Amino acid sequence: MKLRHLAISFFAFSGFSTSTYAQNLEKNSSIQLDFNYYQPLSCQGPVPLILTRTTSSKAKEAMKDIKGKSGKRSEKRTEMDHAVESSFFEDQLLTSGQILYGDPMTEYVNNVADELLKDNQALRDQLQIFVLKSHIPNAYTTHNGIVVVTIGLLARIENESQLAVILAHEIQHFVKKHSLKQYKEVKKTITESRRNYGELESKLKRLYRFSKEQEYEADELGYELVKNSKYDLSEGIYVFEMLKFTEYPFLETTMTLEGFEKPNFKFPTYIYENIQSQLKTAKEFDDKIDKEESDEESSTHPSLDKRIDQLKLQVDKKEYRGRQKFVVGEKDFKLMQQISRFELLLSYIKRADFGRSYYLAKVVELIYGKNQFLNKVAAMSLYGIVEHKLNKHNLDDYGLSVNYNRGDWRPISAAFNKLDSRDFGALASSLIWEIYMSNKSDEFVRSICDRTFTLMQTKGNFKLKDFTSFKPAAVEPEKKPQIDTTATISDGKLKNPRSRIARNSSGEVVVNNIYYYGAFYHLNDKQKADLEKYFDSIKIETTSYSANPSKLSYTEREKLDARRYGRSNKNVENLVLMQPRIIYSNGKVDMFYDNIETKRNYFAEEIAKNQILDNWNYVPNATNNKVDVLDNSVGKSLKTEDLNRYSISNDWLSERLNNDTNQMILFYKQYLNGMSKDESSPYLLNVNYEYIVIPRPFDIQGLIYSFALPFYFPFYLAQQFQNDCVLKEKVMAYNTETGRQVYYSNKSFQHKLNQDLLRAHIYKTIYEIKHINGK
Amino acid sequence: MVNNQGGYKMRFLRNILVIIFAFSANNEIQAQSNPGFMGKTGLVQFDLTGLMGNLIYEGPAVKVNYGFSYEKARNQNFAWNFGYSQTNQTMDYNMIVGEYLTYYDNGQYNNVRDKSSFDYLFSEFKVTPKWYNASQGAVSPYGAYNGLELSLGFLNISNANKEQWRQPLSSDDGAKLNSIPSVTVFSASYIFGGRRMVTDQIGVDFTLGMGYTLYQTLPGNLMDYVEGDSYAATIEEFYQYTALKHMSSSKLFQAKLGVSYLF
Repeated sequence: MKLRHLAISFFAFSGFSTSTYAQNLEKNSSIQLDFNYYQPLSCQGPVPLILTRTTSSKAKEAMKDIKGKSGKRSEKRTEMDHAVESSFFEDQLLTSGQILYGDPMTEYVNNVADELLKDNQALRDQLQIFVLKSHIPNAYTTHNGIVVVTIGLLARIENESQLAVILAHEIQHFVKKHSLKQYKEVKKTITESRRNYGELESKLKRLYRFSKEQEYEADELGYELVKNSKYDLSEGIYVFEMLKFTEYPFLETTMTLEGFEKPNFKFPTYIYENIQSQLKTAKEFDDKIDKEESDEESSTHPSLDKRIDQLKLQVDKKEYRGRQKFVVGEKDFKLMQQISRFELLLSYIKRADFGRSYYLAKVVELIYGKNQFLNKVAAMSLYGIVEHKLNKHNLDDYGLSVNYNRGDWRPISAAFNKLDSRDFGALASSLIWEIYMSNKSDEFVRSICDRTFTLMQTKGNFKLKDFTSFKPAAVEPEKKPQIDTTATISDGKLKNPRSRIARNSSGEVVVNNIYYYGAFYHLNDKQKADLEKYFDSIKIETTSYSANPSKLSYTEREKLDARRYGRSNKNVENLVLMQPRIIYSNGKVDMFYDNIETKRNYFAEEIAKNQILDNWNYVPNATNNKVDVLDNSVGKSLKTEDLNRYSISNDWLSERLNNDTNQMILFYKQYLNGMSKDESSPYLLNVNYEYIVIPRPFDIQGLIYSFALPFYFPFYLAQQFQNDCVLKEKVMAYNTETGRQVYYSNKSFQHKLNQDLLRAHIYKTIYEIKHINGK
Repeated sequence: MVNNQGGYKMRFLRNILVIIFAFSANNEIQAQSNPGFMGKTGLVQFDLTGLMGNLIYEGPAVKVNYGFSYEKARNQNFAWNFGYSQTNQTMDYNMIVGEYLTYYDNGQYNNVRDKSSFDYLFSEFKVTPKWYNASQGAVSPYGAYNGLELSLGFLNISNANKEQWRQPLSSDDGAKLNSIPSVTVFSASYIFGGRRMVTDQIGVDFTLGMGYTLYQTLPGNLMDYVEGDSYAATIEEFYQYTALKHMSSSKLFQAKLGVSYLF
């Protein structure tokens, strides 16, 4: 009997669990996640309602509401300006291609918010929560209730309660209208940042950067919200601790240069001494930064330690202990965490943060196991470093900054940064080759492999036999990297990450006396035969002059590389245009043209944007050209599919611009199938406009002339009441196959933005791109 | 009677125009590829030109002539325009001023001719190199431009036989004139303007210009006649100078409105 009851209870319980889990699975069942061949997450389902109305209609409605309120005119004016800027910025954010909805991560975060605000449906209905594909661990709230959590943050949190604390804090910023208050305080307007990828984050920080007092207020009120839920408020302490370590990887593993060496492949001895001195300098830099940030008086940020102390006062109360760490579900949390970490890798690749992406790929591999996607990330990271080293770029910009990489990724950053391009190239080619051999059917890895070897031979001054040459060496056992993911919690603090350099078991720095170059010597005969066959297939020459690039100058080697790899563009047939952007400003100038002030006119901008888009749709059709326009305009016709296509193109372009090279294989090339309706590799076109309208100041000189010459008076009037208009047009086109920029034009016209001008220039752009080779 | 020395100069200038025409017509000479306006690099245009120089000279304030032209863009910023225009004008008695047409006799001033009028027809062939202004967003043949209009014109007098002349300009009172030879005129105008598109193929063109006669086949300096000094040695020359003076001065300020069809 008891057994039967037990069985019934068991089945009932498991049935309940299963149905809950099944329910969660069902929510995500539209996406089949394969981490082995991970694809960037895309938006799913219907477009959020907020995006189905045009921005100007929403802004006008907000302005109307404000006008109807009582209050001082100047304050209402400020409030209306804020409402307009917020509306336009929010829509730009939501259609940027960086925001996710309908995906498992966003669904999960929304479920946590649902749980948090279970007793306040009215407030919950005012909020819309999304995930932002940004590596920076942060969360933002906009004036109209849009809450955005970054993947950088989601990758770092350890449980659901921590997310709940974060959401509770952000919700209070909305409830208390901190954005508007801050705006009134400083009357800042959004200014544009030049760099494509960082622009959104810069704007987010500028518009939604709250004062210290506002942060403390949001903390206090947020704690109340968490207390009224099932979540464990004490987890907030670990959130603040986590924020102290944002310069560190989210988890660490020891990675040493020695770990890459093989019996017959060693690094030169100088590099170990070099690393030590760099680490010392970096430590001094750390101390300086830490000192500046801990000064509460002068810092604009609230002190994390002070926030921790204030929170501890709350959690010391007994009634708030022992709450749940997971309410929606631990399994869902783990899935969300895994996705966020994979997305984070993509984010670093997109930013060309190769040092970090390589390190994190190894960390993620140790947590979740080896897989093909991680292999690709590692291969791409190594190739990216080789490409930039051989192009003599500053590697601090590519994730190998010793100062800004704290923690266990610092020594490896130092090492990769300082290794000579040939030394690193030999290592990278060897590792990429191994990855390729583990999955020969992967075309992307194959293309990276081809490119790396070609680069090493052309720009890298390698001869074929350099890859396989060998000198006698003392055999040392291989050292494997160690993982250390335990977070020892004592006194409410996380364990401090350490920085180590290559040491042996006695803690002494290991210095090798002999340096060898045999990156492929360890291969067995069959593997060497495969390597030779591979070299044949990519036509690495062994006997011709070009096979001995050491005789060529750097410029000549660049030309050799361009000839080998940079094939001239075939006829441009398939153009894909990312929706053109325009910034429309009204200017004001004094009589002497000394001072020009501009103010963005968002409403005119929306009209101009639609006009430009209409013409970009019209002109190709009217002139028998094929241009696929990726339209992400807010309004009734917006579809999720369009947003996703735009997002892919934006990701590719971000990666391209962040790499800042003449040509390069890009990781997001793998995902371009979703971008173009045509199957062939498209050319991606990016067009930006800037339009300034400045009424002419009073022309007293002209008036005087027209008194002297009366027939001049009509001309004077025509001149005086005209506006000076400047239209700036920047066009870039890229071959997405090779990453090469095929067209660039940056022009300025003193002309009104009218239809025939747009049509003339749109056609001109298409024509010039199609005639790139001058034919 | 045409001065032969002027003939050599005229032939030289004519030859220059022919060379320019031949050069511009050569399809093999392509400086840069040109997208044109939506792919259209040629046009034909019908225009009306208002010649307003006589706002400051005597005669009708504004003359209107009609013309048509063909334009072909050679590259993004340059085009050749070939045109033809003509204008005709009836010169009535009051438009013809000449103090030398009176003589003093027996205590009074007498006119050497009776009141009447004559007509002239001025036909021009024009070649205009046009530079389109890239900073104004122009892509030849669309947008703002400036140019140098070179024209070869032929001035023909007609219906002058109504005029009755008396001595001393005629041998007998009541003598009639023979036919008057045409005058060849070479002039240049600086023009500037712009073309806007109404549809993808139909455009509207507005141009302003300032013109000057460089050479004509009559003896003497035309400016002498523009300024009013007498020079005419024969009645025929008198008609020619009078018409030419009127025509030349009207070219000083010009405004043209045209409708173009692009292809």
